[in-house]
Amino acid sequence: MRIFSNSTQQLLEQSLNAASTRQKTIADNIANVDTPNYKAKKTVFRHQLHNAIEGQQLNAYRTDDRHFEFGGKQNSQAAVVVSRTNSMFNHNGNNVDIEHEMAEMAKNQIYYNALIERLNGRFNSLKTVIGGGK
Amino acid sequence: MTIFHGFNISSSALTTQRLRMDVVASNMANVETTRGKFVNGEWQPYQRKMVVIQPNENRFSSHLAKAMGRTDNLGNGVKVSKIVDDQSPFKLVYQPDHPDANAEGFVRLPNIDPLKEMVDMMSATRSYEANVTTLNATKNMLLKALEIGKG
Amino acid sequence: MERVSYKPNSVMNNIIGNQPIKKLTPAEAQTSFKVALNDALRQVNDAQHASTIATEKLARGEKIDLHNVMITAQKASITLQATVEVRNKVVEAYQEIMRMQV
Repeated sequence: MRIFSNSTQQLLEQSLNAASTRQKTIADNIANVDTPNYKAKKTVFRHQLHNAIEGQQLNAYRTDDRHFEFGGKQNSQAAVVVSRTNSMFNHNGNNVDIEHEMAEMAKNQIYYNALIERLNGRFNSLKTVIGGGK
Repeated sequence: MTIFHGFNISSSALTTQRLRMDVVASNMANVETTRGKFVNGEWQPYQRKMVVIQPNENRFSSHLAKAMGRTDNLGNGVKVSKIVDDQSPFKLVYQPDHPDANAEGFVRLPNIDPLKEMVDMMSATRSYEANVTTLNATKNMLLKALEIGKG
Repeated sequence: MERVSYKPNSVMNNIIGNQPIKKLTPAEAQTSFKVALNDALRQVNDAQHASTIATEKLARGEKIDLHNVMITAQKASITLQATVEVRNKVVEAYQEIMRMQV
């Protein structure tokens, strides 16, 4: 049965995975707040990358369906961990901004809670329909 | 703007105030530093540092919103655009037996007034606390919004 | 003692705004029930669709307020539950009628 294969369900599940990765990254940064030469990491979600490159995507004009499309297959991973490069460094080469990390952690928690709420709502709706309200 | 716009704004303000505080700390520590920089063969005293705080508006979206005449553009917080040296003159103190005394016996001390730095420190602390309160209020509002429909 | 005169019925109707009750033929009753049912299902579908769009905007971090997402979701959920209950009652009524001894 393909009840759960629609795009919203997958988006929610992938976003939850990405939020979990982000929490680990933030914990890593906070633990290394005083480490010399440590560069802060951040987690970029696939839809953020997608929005960034969307305006520049080149689509092939195909006259036949059998012709190849530009662009490789999409990265199925929801979240990518990269180094934060645009912030100032301390005297010991560390660029972890503790306020930023704390704010990111609060944001991530609320994002995760909101997604769980929505996921529960969807599952409950499915149960209502299947159970007929009994 | 995303649901976390308020968080981003408060977070930028917290970073800015902490940086301002760091500058105050640096100034206070260097009140008596006569050998700050070596320029043209002689030692210059430490020059008081100041932060330049600007709204965080270099993004494409804010320029686009202005061009389109939209009025719901709230801005993106603040940032420290640069740390500049205070160009006011150094203090001159008569101490002929100081190693850095000039020909007339005057020593150039940094142009730092501890009272001014204390006032800056209090201002930065209060701003920091106010922004933390704001961030907590935003967080509580969002948590309450998550409880819509429960109970 | 004054004589109180009562106004005729049609004026009373105008004041209250009531139409006299019209009897429906069975064909008309079926049609109006079908229209009402389709309407309800369309509303459920619209509400679910709006809720899905709002949830996707939330997950992608696009421009939406969290309370709007929650309110849209609740509206969809309640609309769905109400329609399911109405369906149950209709089915129950049908079964009740079918059980009647002729």
